[in-house]
Amino acid sequence: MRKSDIIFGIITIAIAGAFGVMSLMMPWHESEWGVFAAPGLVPLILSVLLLQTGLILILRALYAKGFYRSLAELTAKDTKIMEADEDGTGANKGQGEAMKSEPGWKRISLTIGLAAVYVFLLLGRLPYLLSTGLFVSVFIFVFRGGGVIKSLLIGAATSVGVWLVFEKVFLVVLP
Amino acid sequence: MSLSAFFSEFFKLMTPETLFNAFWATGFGIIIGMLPGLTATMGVALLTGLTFRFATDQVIVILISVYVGSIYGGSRSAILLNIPGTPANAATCLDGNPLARQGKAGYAIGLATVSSAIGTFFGLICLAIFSPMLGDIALSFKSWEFFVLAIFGIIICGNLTAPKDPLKGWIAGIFGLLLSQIGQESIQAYARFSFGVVDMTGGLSLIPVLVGVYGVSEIIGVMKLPVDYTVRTKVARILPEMKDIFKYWKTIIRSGVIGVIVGAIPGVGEDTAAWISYDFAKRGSKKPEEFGKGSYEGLIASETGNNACIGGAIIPVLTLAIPGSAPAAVLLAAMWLHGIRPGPLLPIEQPQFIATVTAIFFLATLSMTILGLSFVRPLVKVLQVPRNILMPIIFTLCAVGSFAINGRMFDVKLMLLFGVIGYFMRSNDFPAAPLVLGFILGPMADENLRRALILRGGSIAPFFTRPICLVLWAFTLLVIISRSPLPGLIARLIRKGTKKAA
Repeated sequence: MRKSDIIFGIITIAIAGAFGVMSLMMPWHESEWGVFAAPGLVPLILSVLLLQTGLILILRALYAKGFYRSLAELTAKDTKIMEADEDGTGANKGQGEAMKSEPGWKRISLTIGLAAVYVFLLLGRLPYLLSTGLFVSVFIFVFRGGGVIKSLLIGAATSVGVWLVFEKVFLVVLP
Repeated sequence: MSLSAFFSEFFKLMTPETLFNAFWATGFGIIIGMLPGLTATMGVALLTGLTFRFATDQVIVILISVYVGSIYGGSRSAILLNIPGTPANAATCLDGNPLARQGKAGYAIGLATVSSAIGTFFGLICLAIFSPMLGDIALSFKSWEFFVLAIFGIIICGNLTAPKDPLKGWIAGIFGLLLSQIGQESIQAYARFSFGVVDMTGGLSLIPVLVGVYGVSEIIGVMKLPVDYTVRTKVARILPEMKDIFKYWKTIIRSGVIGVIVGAIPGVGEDTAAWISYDFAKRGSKKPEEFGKGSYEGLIASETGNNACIGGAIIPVLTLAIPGSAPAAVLLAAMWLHGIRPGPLLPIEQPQFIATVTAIFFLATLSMTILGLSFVRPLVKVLQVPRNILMPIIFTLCAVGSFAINGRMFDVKLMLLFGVIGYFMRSNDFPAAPLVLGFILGPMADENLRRALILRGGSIAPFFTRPICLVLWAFTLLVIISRSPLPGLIARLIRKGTKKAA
């Protein structure tokens, strides 16, 4: 948590800095009301606030060990309450253990990757039925939801279903 | 708002089209709520995009029905799977699931349904009574009050949605405020942070951001877990006995009140309402040791609280155009999209709207109760669809929903971007609610600050002398100080002092 806090603190300061610099580059005295109507006023104030809070986050992560200890205690108490499995049937053990195990980076990047391919490469360039059908089929297949035939069938059913319901019934424009 | 206005609006709703919409939307909401990974916010946001072409009055019926249905629907998976369908039902797991494991799943579902119905009804009554009252106060809100209100909203939302670490809540809130500044500003029409891109000049649309932060980030989170869930409990008797409900009437009223108050606080929503209701029920209960082992009282408290919150959350939406919770934020966005202007002027411009909303609420409560008590077993089957198949389908719906409003791929890309941002934020304890609240309140804060400064030639004195502003500042300071090391220091000094005196 401390390491991620430092990283997020740096990101926060970077964002604050970027927005702050861009606000300063906006026109400040162009209107008849001067500074008070300047487009950069509120973004600048917000950037300064974000910078301060980001700094506090980093400083706290570096120097306030007691805070993280009490945070860990509080979190441990919460997880104990949420995962009470008294009759030991193990019905819910799988869930709890899965949460505590590896972060599942592979699954996360795969999900985001497939979604990015769909949104950036397929949608809008291929006809909707094709792009969506492909995405759903590949997704299900990659995540072992079914074999090739099952994935293709579900993919096709989804794209046709969505197309029918939304273009014909809801009158929604599809990408 | 008089009873006659309510009844006349309610009878206007009795058309086949409206009833049909209310029922399918509530059912859809229950399913969305039931499926872990799909939240109420996402359900309402999705349908906002998808029903964009519908008539305005039908849209409001549909969205409120989905809202009510999904907050209730999450109790199903909480009871049957020990996984809350939406965050609002997390407290329901604690007593709902033990009841299911004792073989009383159906009864627990029935209790949850009746409690949710009572909670929604309570919220509805408070909505009807307090909206006109708050509306009167809201009329005296000028630029200064709105600006300070925005600050207060972010501070308290950040505090309550990240109770262990409010600093992160406040960072999320300020980030949301900053993001809302992208695009053309209202006073000089200068395009801020647009980098010359036309799409950015229009600013970031709310619905894609909401669908991203609440929908796509949940999808990513759900896909991260390699294990699927199995429903193993039998569902028998459903209808709860009246004596079980009447025994806990104090809990019901208390949870209802807590739900409405928490709902009315900007940005703090149904999940907080459920937990606080549960906590207070446990403290005030005659049998606190039963909590966590299948206490009816705990289940009732959680479900009444989270549904009462819905009514409470809509009060500030209608009177101040400030969302009381995340799904209420989407409702607000939808109202704007369809030309309704909630806010202090609503009772003047559209005086019957509060009665309409109350009537729709009542209809949604009825359909939720009917559907909840009747279609239990078929709906449970939906829980057994493997997530590997469900998630990509939901993602395509998210994409369509984001695209449908403005018809541009930029919104879909934005949705994905915020899905990723939202996921990494939440996995590091940065809550999403302040981000969304900041995003909504940003334009309001910006305009009102600059307008207030222009009006008084740069003087910031009115911010600190107007009575409503002072009250809001006091609350804000109270929240910040309560989270700082100060109270601890003062407590220690007092203890040292009493020790010396003894």
